[in-house]
Amino acid sequence: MKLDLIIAGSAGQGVITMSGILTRAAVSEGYDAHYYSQSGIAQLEVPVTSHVRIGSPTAGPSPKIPRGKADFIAAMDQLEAMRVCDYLVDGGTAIIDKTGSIPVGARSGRFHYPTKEEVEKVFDGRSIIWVPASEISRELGTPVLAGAVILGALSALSEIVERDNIVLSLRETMPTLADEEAEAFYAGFDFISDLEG
Amino acid sequence: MSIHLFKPADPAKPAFKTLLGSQACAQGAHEAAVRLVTGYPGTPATPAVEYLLGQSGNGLKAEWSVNEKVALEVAAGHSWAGQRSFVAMKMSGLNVASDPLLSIAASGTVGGLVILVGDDPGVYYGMVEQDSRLIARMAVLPMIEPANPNEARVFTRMAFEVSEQTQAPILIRQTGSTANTYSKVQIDEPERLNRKPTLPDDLARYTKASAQDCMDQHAQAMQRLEEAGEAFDELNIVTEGDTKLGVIAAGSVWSYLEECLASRNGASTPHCLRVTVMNPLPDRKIVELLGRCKRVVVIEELEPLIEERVRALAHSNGIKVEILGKEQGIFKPTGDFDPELVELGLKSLEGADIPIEVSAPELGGYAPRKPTFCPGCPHRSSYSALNKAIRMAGFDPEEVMVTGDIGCTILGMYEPFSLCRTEVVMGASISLAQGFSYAGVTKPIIATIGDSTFFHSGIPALLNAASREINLTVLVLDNSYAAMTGFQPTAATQANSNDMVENPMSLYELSKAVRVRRVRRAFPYLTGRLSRILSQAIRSKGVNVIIAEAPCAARRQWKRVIPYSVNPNRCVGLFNCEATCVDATGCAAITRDEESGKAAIDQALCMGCGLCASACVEKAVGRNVRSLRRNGK
Repeated sequence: MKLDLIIAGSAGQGVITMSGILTRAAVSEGYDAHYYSQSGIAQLEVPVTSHVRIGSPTAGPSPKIPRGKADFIAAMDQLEAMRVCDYLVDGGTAIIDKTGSIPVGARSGRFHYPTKEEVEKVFDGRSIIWVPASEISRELGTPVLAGAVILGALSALSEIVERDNIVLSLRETMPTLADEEAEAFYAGFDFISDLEG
Repeated sequence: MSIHLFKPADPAKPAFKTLLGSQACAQGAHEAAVRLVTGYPGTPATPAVEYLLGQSGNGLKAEWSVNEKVALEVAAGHSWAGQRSFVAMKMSGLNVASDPLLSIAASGTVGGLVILVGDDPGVYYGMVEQDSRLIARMAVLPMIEPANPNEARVFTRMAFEVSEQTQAPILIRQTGSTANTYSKVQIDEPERLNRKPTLPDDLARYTKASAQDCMDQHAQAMQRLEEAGEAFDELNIVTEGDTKLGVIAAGSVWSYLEECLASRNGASTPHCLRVTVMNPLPDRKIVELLGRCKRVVVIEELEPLIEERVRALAHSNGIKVEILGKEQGIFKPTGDFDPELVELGLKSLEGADIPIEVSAPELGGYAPRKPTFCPGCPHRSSYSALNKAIRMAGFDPEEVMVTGDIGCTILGMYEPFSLCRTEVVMGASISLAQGFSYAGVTKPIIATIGDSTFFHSGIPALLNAASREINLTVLVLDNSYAAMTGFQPTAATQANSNDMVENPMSLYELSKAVRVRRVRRAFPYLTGRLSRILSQAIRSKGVNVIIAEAPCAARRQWKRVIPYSVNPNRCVGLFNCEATCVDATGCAAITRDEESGKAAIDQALCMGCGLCASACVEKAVGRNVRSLRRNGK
């Protein structure tokens, strides 16, 4: 059993927190797991990419996942999804928050922000699932739960780590908002289950 | 390949923890009964020191020092008293500390002294891309490089043993891919040491009394280096394979090679030497490999340090063997490596084209992701006020020289402020500005610097400038923290934190004491007052210090926040507006409503600083003072 996952977003969206939650959940189940984060300077807007590797008996040796080998990509917005698109294996799945963070430069219309079609074009036939994570999070009352929604969606698609272990790890990592985070997680999980019918 | 030099207390039930590579080093130091931990924030020091700050007490003292030079000196004093010390810093920090480093290396140590340094190939953290292995060589200090968190713990523990056994301070180098990897690490109970401090009593060793003493110290350092090299040699690992090709790979690159070889399913694997000890290099093992292989490829990031040694050893031992690496362009001299790059390099040996770079997706046409101040950041207000002040003083920002400094404050170089023109090293904004003044620049010269940066290295520069007849405005953006690295306290931080400063100092009194022409304090959110003060300073003679004081927005205990909102009846829409609030402030709390195309302010993100309200030309941004949001949530 092996799972290689790229999580992409920009600073402040919880990419590293999500990676930690997943890694600890996998370790608690007895897997070998590690993640490597290219976080760069910790300031708003900067792209953050994380390479999560889970495996039994051992996860992949390199901290970085080779390009074209990731089973999943979880992206907190379209632009970051495009930045990491070549990591996805043929037949892999990208989960993208379709309402994620738009760079400041694109909000006033001075710069172009990729459309859904442009994203689908660079993914070149590999499957993309659009999850309205930020929207779901806002419906639950705060924008900070988008990461939990994405984790839920990921858990529904990949069964390598037990759902309950991820929730446990999520609650431990986010003690002050534990109930809200768990609710967002299940919302993401249900979103995928409903899609699959 | 795994190295287990320390058996767990109960081998049947090993304990585990999930840790970053940098934290695993700290865990190793903790297990080795380290007594003092010092450092200055920056990867990998931040997670390492914070990890031990969280466990301090019970015989362990940890502190954020004012800069890396001081951190190393404090630790060296502690070690010379016979106690174990651990110092952590980023590569730029090692440059700052290189003066004491060379001198301490010449004297050696008594108690174990281990220095963790991070290199950043690929420059993810935005400083000079440098190879600190060269500093180890210059300082005549042993240096080892773990490739994953488990090794980081074990190697650090071992480093303390070797440091005391050979009396050499030990450098541990981590590149970003090791320091920022988080994984399951086997841990152990800390050892217990209870040593009484001793005083050094050997002038020939601890002073630079005579030329002969200094030369003797140099020779002794070389002797210690050799002994440490032998003690660490078991970490340089030979993996038997097909001797048609020999591969020598360094530290962190080893795991990429493992990844490539694992995907080759059964094909013959080359004969490999993994170099873990970067100084001294394992000459004997290299020569042995050279003698057995037909071709040898060397894989290492940044400087061709091992490659050059391999070539020299082949030559001096009269071994005729083809040596491949950076010289042939197989591996690039800059940036970080990854598994594909190693794979392409190995393929080129079989006749494929020599790779220069793995291609990345083309995103040039899209909106750039430039770092920006957080919503409510006091620095955004300060830079806004500075822009206004320059115009009030009768100048155009285009003709004014603003030198920037390290930290969040450098974001003043980006739009919408576009003020800072230079960024060199900690504290250099002030000294660089003095140079521009000497160069005959008659228009205003302004240095902007953060508080932690000012304490780190800005103080000597301010002393230097203040003692001369020059015109200079120093804008200190004091937010009470080293914010960019994760809110570490500075020497002046009064707020409660896990490294409480016992005797916080005052930036205001310090500036007064150096007798600059004028020292003023201002609250940055009152941009009108700050810009008047700044404009007066810009027009004045002498050195002026203006301190813009407000705690970091991400750390401030906001009792109440009154967020702003946009009146959609007045807003003309972001794409139709000539001077938008987004472009004027670069604030992440302002979004564009998909349906109406008008500006909207995220009520959960807005901190109520009001810059957008003053920037809006349509007067569409306002707030209802009754819409209180308690506790910022």
